[in-house]
Amino acid sequence: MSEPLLRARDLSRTYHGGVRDFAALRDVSIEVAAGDWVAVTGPSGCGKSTLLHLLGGLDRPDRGEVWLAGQRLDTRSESERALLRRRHLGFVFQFLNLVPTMTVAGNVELPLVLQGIGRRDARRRALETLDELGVADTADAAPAELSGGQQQRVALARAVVHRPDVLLADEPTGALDSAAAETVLDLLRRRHEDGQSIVLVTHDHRVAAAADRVVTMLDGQIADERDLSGPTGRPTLRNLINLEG
Amino acid sequence: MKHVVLGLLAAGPAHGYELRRRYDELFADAGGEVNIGQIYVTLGRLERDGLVAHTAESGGDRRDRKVYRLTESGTATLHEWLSAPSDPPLVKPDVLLRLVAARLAAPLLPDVNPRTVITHHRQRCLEALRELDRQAARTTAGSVSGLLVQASALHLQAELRWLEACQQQLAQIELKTSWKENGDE
Repeated sequence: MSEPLLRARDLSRTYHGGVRDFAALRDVSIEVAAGDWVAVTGPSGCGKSTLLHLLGGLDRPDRGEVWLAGQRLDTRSESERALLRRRHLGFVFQFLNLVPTMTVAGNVELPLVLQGIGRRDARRRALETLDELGVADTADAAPAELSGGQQQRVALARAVVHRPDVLLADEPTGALDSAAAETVLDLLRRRHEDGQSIVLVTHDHRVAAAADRVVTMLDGQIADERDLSGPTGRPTLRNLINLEG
Repeated sequence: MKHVVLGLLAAGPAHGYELRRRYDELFADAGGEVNIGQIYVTLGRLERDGLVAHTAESGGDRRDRKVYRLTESGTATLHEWLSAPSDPPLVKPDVLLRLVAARLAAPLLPDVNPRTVITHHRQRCLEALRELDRQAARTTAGSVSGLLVQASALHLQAELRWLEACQQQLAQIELKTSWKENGDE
């Protein structure tokens, strides 16, 4: 078996301070192979965002290991982790982190430019991705001029534009109305079909059900893991819904 | 079915096959399967209760057809039904019954685990939600099937959230076992 793209073993993370310590994560292990689409769900405070931050090297575990593309991530320095992140990951945060002094297109081009791709190619790919998400008309605007939902889609465009090994997304449909959420899900489905590995955190079960694997977290631990990729009974609308019992 | 047929007849008199055509057009692939037999059985009952009446009409082809229409009493019944509030969507606690039974049966059926009851149900709900989402893309806004898909998807999401609460409280789901106190132990 080949080495999974992303692997975490026995991760624990406790936040200190406040009235008492809070064990956000307790002995969580997870593996993401190339092409996997994993959704992590659970009630707020269950540790799902903490897990994503540890997987992305934004935070370090108290115990356990994180391996990204065959390299240990959690023991590296902040700058080394930033480099590995840039090389292998696309990240959509709950706080969107768009660069306020750059245009929308400039933000989305950034990961490509950092990879050494020429301006013209970078611009073309940025516009294509923005277009896929229905926000191409905002390309020349400043992020602050956009609505929350538009900013969220721009952040997603920036996270996927360079086709990272793994896309990590924290509530990527959180600020969106249902039509915009559908646009985002469509993009994720298409990228997944092209082989994009995705780990997304969501409290929205509809979004989670689009993934091939659904991990449910409760109280800092993995409570359940469901595989939805296999052939289901293919329930038909008629079977699912019965008007008069 | 009774009120649906009354509603279909409210659009104008029709014979049985015409009613089924109206039903299929409205509910597309969303409604429960309805066959012509059900329609005729329902019409028969409605006629017995005086809610519809029929006149025979020779259809030009080989058979005479019964064309049904609402009676005054039928119109009043439809009006009464439409004026009454719908049932609130209170859930049938099927999973909860299984959870409790799984607890009670633990000594007898040691391989049955309440957690498994939850995870199996979660799998089913997630699969149904996944399929509904696929089908939602094929419905049009404002269509009966579209609205049914939305209703089902939202109920499934509520069920999945409730399952999380169930699982979280599993350890605390206490059973009154005082009536068993004189048993083993």
